[in-house]
Amino acid sequence: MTRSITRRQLLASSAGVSSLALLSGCPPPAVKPTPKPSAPPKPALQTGLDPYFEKQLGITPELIRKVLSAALEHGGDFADVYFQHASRMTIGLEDNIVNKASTGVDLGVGIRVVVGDQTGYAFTEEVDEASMIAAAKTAAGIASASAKTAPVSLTPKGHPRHYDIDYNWFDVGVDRVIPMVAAINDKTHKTDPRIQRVTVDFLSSQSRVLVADSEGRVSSDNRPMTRLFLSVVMSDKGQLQSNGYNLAARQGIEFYTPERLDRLVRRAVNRTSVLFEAKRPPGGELPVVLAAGSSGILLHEAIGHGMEADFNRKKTSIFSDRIGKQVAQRFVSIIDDGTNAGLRGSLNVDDEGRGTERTYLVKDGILRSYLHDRISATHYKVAPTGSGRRQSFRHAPMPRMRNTYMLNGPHKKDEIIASVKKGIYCVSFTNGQVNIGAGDYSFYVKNGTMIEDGKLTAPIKDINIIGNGPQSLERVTMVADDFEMDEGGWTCGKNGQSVPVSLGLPTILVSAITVGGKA
Amino acid sequence: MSGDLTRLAEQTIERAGKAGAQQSAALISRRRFIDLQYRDGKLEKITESKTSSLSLDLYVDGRFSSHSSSDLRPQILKPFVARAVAMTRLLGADKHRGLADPALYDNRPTTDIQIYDPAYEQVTTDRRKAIASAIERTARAQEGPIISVTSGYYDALGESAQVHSNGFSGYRRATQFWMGGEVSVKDEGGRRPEDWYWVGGRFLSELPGAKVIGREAANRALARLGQVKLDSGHMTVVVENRASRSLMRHFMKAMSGSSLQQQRSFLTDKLGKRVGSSAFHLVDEPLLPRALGSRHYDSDGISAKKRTLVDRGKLTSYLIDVYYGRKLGAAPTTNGTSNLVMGLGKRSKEAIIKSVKKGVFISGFLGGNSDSTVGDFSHGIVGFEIRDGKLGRPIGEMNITGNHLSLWTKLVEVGNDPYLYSTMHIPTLVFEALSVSGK
Repeated sequence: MTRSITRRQLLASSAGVSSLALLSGCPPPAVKPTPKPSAPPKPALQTGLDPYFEKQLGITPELIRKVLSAALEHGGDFADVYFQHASRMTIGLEDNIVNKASTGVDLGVGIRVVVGDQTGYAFTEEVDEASMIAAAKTAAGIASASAKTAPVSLTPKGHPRHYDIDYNWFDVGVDRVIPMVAAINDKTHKTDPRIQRVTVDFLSSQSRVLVADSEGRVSSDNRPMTRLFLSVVMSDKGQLQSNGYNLAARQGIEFYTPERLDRLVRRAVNRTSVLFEAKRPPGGELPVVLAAGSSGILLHEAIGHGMEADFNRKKTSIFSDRIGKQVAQRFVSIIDDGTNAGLRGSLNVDDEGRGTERTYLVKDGILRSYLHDRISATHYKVAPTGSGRRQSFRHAPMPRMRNTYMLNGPHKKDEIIASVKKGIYCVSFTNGQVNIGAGDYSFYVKNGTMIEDGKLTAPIKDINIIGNGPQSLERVTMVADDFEMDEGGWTCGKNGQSVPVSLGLPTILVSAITVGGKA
Repeated sequence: MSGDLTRLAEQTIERAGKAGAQQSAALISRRRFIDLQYRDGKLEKITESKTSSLSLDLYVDGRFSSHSSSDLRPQILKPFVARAVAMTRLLGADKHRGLADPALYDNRPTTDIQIYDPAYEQVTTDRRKAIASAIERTARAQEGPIISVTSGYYDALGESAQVHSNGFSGYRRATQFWMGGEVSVKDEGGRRPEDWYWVGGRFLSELPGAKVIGREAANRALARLGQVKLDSGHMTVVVENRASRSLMRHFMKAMSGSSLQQQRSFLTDKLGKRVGSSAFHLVDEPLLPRALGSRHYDSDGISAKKRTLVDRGKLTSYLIDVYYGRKLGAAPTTNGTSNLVMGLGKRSKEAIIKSVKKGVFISGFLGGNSDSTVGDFSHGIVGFEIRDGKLGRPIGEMNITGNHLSLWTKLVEVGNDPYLYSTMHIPTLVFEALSVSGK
């Protein structure tokens, strides 16, 4: 049972600090490329006004109009309502028994009133007319003009879909998940006699949302999500080591193919057993080669957060005033994308009801675009980039990343490793963090290897890497052609709100970053 | 108020029993809050709402599951409970699952822990705005290249009722108040360093004034101008009280019953043994008046009591909850600390710094992690160099790296300044010869 979160915990990600955490352990070296970022699925239109909300919850267009009118009763430039009905299930295995499960249901509506860049926000978990009107009046408190509301005419918007909105995880019972979880446990135990403990944690969730605003836009989405985490503890000559691997996607149970589950087991075990030989590297400034895949954590921390337009509007990002400037070599292009098929950070519509897109943060070395929500897009007089996201109906949206990755470059992986005299090769990560204004970021390396005289040598573990965002981008001196999207699940925290994201990267070389280690 | 939450918890338990659960526990919580931010002279955002939730733990035929819902309507709850019980039956049986032995509910303390501030009901939204606005104004008025100031104020009244089918019933009502500011300043080379100062507590009257907070936030940010990176080496490390909790959290993770039973704890077999220097003294103190972590019972329903965890360097108690206690064959202590209070030293932070010839002062961590199985850690640091007893240039882009089993033996002194705006009252810590990496 949990108690309510304290303000202090919320602030762990405040003060211009944003953090990224793996759902707990760590992800991949190089096997086979998962979804190609440049090949979005064939678009299909989806409905703008999901009848579910009217049928199940009595949310009629008439009721939405009434709530929007109440929200604008003191003036205000804009108002929106965000309905959400979400459910979640987890199943856990420990000590060879599927011995815990949980379910959760969340239902409510958030109402926002915007005046310039000021926001009034209120939510209610009771979706009856009286409660919603009361919440709308609370949110309206931000505005102080007299009523000037013309009735809103609602126009449902269609959007291309990047995942299956007709899927429903709640048609998939515990009885279908338990055998899969049990089989992963058996298989893991059979892989290596040194395995002492295995835990498997499965999650599925389904979130239906409907967003309507005072400009008449109505959009809805139905978002599946799943993740699977495998952790192992191994013992060798009296020594213990633990590690894991995880999978996550905005997909249904078909995501868990036999090949993927084999890889889950293999990597969890390999990444643990290698720790028996692993050492801490010497600390200090070293060349760092980042393996293809989850090393995209570099982009998330070193540039992604700094490109969220709210920080720039407030002039508190190190990337403020740098649009149009060269920030990296010509072969560096970095994208934040909501349109990749079935990825954890993908969205058909963002949480302001806008279609998502593929946004170049850096194209051919030039800083191109911030990530915008409605408030920042209005401020900068540009179109929103479909980046307005929120944790739930209890939160106002803000600009956030979706799937952040770098495109392939002109080099080869082997050539990159061969170019390093003494450095480290980083493979898996657990968490990262950034100070937006100073630009200093860090991430934690769980698995890696020393590079000595151009060759991969001894395994290393548990070191933090810390650098400066713009400086590290300038120091990306080689980019390989082996792009990989991470298949694991990342959760990004900012101002107390968590949202799912994905990461990807080809193998790259950063010529110098400060590596933790033995002094 | 207390009556209706408790009644709903009791009804839920009853429903779970009728649906086939042999045991169950229900927690109903309700909270109302206001959260507001000022930025650069005006109100930027205000959020105000009430929220409630139910969580239900079920024990059905030796099987366990937990469930939560924000939808408390009776017509929803009834099928919700029935479905939850049916789902639980599909899981594997685990003989260790079950509610606490009711004897652990006995002797619940009645100490007045003062976690509810009656003044809460008199706080108006105008006053909340005035506090946040004054923090913002004061910070912005400080001398220096300030780019942006954001201040905030948050308060909440929370209530919860917890009922177990084997005789536990508890209710609590608590207030909390938080306020602070975040300041960004303009530095050379496009850098815009930031820092913050936030305070929080159970009673509004116990917190410092808005001007103190605003000045502190601005001065901390301004002190970050001209950051440098030092050479790598072994050196004395002084960790400021507000940052020291990060290190402590990683140590505490290895204390839990789940880490121990799952063989993921570097503290396995250390009970009764030395895990730190004599300056390392940790007590779980649940009954401190007005403290953020104070409570009469934990979430297993176990009656709270003061417990020494580390006695002058020697490990004296783990944190073992009911479930892992059964799995380990050990008596449960508690499933988590209330107020984690560290034994204090005699000197202030300033006096400590004065006695350090060469070292680093850490005012915050940036990322990093720790492996609880073996104790290895590595963290990014932000702070200042110490030279000849004085704080020097701000430092950053550096890491400290080590292992928790040796870290705490290098604790040579603790300050007299516990950080009270948290459930971990940890003072300034001084470690000898830590591995610091930079240039």
